[in-house]
Amino acid sequence: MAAGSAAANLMLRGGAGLVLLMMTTSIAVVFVGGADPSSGNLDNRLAAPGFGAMLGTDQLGRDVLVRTLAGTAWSLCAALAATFLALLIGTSLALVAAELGGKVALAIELAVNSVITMPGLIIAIIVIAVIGQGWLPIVVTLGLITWPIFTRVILAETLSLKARDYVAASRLVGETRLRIVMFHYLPALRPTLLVMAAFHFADMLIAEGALSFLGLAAPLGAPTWGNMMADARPYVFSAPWMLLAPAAAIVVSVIAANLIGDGLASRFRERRT
Amino acid sequence: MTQTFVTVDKLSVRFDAAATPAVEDVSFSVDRGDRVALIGESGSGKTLTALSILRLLPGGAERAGDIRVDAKRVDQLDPAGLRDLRGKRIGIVFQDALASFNPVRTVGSILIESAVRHSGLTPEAARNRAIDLLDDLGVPSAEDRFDAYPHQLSGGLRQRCMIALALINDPDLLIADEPTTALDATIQAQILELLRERSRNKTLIFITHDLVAAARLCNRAILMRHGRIVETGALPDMLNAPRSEYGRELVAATPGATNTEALLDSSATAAEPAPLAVERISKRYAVGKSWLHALRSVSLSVVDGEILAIVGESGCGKSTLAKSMVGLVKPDRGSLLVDGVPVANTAADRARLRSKIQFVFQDPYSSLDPHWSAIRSVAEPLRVSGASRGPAGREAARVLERVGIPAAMHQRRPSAFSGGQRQRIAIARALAAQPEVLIADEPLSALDRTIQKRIVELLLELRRQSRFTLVMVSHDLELVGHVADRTAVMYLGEIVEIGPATQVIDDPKHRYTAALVAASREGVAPRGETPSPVGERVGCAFAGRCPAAIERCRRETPSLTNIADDRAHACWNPL
Amino acid sequence: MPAAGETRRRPGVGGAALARAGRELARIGVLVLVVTSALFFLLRLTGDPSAMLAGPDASAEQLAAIRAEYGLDRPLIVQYASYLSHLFRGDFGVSLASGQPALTVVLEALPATLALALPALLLAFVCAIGLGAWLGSGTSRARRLMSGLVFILQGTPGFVAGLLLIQLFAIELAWLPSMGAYGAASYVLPVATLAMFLLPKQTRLIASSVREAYQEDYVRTAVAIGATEREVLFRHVLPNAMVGSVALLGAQAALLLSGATVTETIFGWPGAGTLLLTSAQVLDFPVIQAIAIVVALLVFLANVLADVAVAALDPRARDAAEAV
Repeated sequence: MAAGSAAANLMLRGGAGLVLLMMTTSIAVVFVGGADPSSGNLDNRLAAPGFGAMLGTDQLGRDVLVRTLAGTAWSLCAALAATFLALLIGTSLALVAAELGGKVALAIELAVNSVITMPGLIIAIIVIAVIGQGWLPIVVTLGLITWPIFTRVILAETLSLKARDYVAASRLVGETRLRIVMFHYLPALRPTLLVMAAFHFADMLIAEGALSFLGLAAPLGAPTWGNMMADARPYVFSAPWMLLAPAAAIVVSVIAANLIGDGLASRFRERRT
Repeated sequence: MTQTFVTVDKLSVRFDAAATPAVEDVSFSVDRGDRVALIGESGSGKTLTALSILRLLPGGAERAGDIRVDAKRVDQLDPAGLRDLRGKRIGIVFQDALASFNPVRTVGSILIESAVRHSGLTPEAARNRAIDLLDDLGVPSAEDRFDAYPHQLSGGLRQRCMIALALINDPDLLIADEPTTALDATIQAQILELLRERSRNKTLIFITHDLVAAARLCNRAILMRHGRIVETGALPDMLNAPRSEYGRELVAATPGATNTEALLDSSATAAEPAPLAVERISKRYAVGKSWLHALRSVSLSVVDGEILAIVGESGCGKSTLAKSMVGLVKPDRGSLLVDGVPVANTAADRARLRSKIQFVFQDPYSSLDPHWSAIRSVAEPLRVSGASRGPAGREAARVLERVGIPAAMHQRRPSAFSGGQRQRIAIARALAAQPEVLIADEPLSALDRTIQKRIVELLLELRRQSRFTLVMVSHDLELVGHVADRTAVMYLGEIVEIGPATQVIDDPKHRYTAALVAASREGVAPRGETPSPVGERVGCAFAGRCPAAIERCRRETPSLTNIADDRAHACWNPL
Repeated sequence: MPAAGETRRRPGVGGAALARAGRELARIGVLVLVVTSALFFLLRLTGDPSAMLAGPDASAEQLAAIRAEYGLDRPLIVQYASYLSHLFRGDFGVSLASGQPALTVVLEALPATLALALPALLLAFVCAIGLGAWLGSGTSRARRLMSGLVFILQGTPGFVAGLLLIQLFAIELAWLPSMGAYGAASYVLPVATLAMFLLPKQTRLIASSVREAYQEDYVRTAVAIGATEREVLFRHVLPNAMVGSVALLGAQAALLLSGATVTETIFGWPGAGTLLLTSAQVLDFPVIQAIAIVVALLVFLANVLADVAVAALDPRARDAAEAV
């Protein structure tokens, strides 16, 4: 994508701004304003976008716009929480593996390889089938499935940091391991963590959308983007807005997350040179 | 055919963001058969100037000015003309052969590509020509090496392949850009000799920072600094009587360029026991199914208050030795002694070691945490030993001032400092802990000559003030020879000779020491390459390359034996 | 004797490769063990599946009978041991839903999935190389526009793209069927959709690899010996740039299988993905297990193939691997 710090800043601000906008609109309309995503007027089903319902209504007469906004909060928060969980688990394990080495590191690497080998969606399907649906199960499932990517990258970077002269110099003057991790490793890892988190956030949005679409994330009738798209399938010809609204929402949010990630990556790359 | 081959007229090169141009108002001409040296330190613009002749400037570079090769303007050449220029009329040898060869292609395939393109040969014929050329350039088993990938070859061989690539189409002009910088002294001498032979009937532009090498190869010199030409003249005249101030400074900083007297006359007092000593330490690393022997039963003791130099080429184990002496590398066998007492692997003993011995790393660009300010890095040893922030900060500031970093810069991060300044900060950090022994691992390798001189002066001055013992590891025999009290010469994991510095250089006993001195002083190259440190060995390590090897040298491994009170060597057939 | 810094290339490639294959096989064995064990304990987490098997209004005797038949009344460790021993013999149990051997059920559904996955992988890779090489080799306006488009595509989840494709081609234009797996025409949309899962990321990766390769010194050497822009791209840059994305093929295989599951749902394609979903809904353990193991093996196979391909393309990886 574009180069130059001005462009990077624009991407960063644009992406972050978009996410913020979606979040606040969602909160404002649904949670504060009290618009109900589940109330539907059967007399007004499958209505085209107009004054009453700005993005039309679905097969049960529910306002598509309101439902989309409700889904926004659900998805954004779920993706954020899952990312945070994966980052926490992944980074901790990576630091432990890097510092302790030996059998501990081998065990962690085995765990990483095992989990990464399996296609995430498939494991998610199985796990959800077992532990049930809902916001928290989704967050936990996604977090527990996707942490290995953090471990792999952070472990590699930490090992290369460990080999740097200034770390040897710190050990030479007697710094404790903990202080080296906290004050030398973590500041150096921060750029990588932030960029990875941004892109991971995008991946989590997509994953949640897919699980939702397959009917596994939230109970039927709940207003999530994926659910809405699944509902829209029989009416794709007669009421295309049912598909397009949530589709647009997911595309915009994922692009926003990618913009944040790219913007951060550019900024950090420049700072290095 | 006109006499003038290349003219450069008011060349300037600018990178869009930069405030000052990298090359400014450079004009010179090169006649056929001329051998011109473009001399300068880092940032002088010498490489960019030469690259401009071939229009090989990196992206983002704006060029102004007029360059003609054989009376034709280079920037007006059509694609066919440009193609002819690059690879046929002009051959260029780049500095870093490892990076300059495509890692996923054999070196031979690149040679063939060039030969087929410019000489109209069939691939078969091109292959033969290339192999013959490699053979001619001294590459053993040329046909095998031809199919090797760049990472599979040693530095010296790679550079010969790079030279082959430049010569394969018999160019009129040969440009060599710092072709020996990454190589050992003995290999450098070989490569320079090769270049001198091969450029005999050609025009040569030799880019270098090394005055002495320039004088050996060229008859003219153009001295550059900060993108401008400072002085031009004939060689070796310019060496003996430089007219510009910078020229004089450069000559003064180059050991061996003129007769320089010792920079400091130091006296060492021998007290017992030695503050630091190693006894029969060995270290090996697993490589594949075999072992790489970095150190083979090395014993060395440091005399209180002296300046000890440990000298050798890459792979000789000097860095490993230095790091063992400070506890960064744990030897497999043998012991480390501080004040005569062995250092055990306990926390208390490690602390004892730390309080007395400190270390300055080789690479100033990676020895400081890029996220920490200078003063924070320097204060770290003080904080670790218990000082609180205030006093530690004040002490760190004091030490930084002593090494010449002004208070205004103390809060800046390493990226704001030059290589020389970073090395000063690293020295400050080592000194903040007030050690008795300071070990410096190639502290000058990454720096320009003029900066090297200043750092050496700094170290000597600090030593005078604080009275510590200095151990310097280096590959530069001349440099340390002028500064050290004693010198130890290492080869393939062993100390082959040790004694008073001036004696070791002027009157070497071990054949390898003699070869090293000859290579650095006169550019005389020893045969062959350094054998691999992997695997077991019988006899003297240098026997394969030694012009005076006798039967015993191949059968029995010599050990370090004293021939005088303070001199020892390990040679069956010494000088 | 090789000089310092030189790698001696060992002539016997066969021996080293065989040893490595053996090591890989052991690794996959451990992996499968870990995965299946995790699966076993995970599935048992729901508690007693006998109630689900027997139906909502089963009597106590019926429940007991079911438990005995499926061995659910024995201690967990015994169940685990028996589970493993069955697996070793290739006995994956019997599908709770259809009564057929679980492995057979899965292997019957697999070809349909592969018929989508492999063409999609090929399509994505070929397009990614072409597009990525073009994007990475310059900064023209057209390139920047296309980069933006790829960026937007990356933001479009695969299933969304698939639904939109259906909207456009199957419904509005009625050129292609939107459901089922009959006839060549019905392959087009699903394969295209599945390829869309992989394409944006691959393209960006190749584009950035190409861009980075252009900054390297060996490109300068190539220009210095007179190579044209085309020669530089095809003979010097691409061989390097491709290594990165081939290495990624292993990870892409996992994404491919995930994407296949979703794609099958959209298009009503009767493959292993659909089977997984239906089995998950009714908690048909044996089939779920069988699918998980087969998938693990497939992904592993893809990783091994990717390693081989990388070794073929990058001599440095080859030497590093042999040195082990």
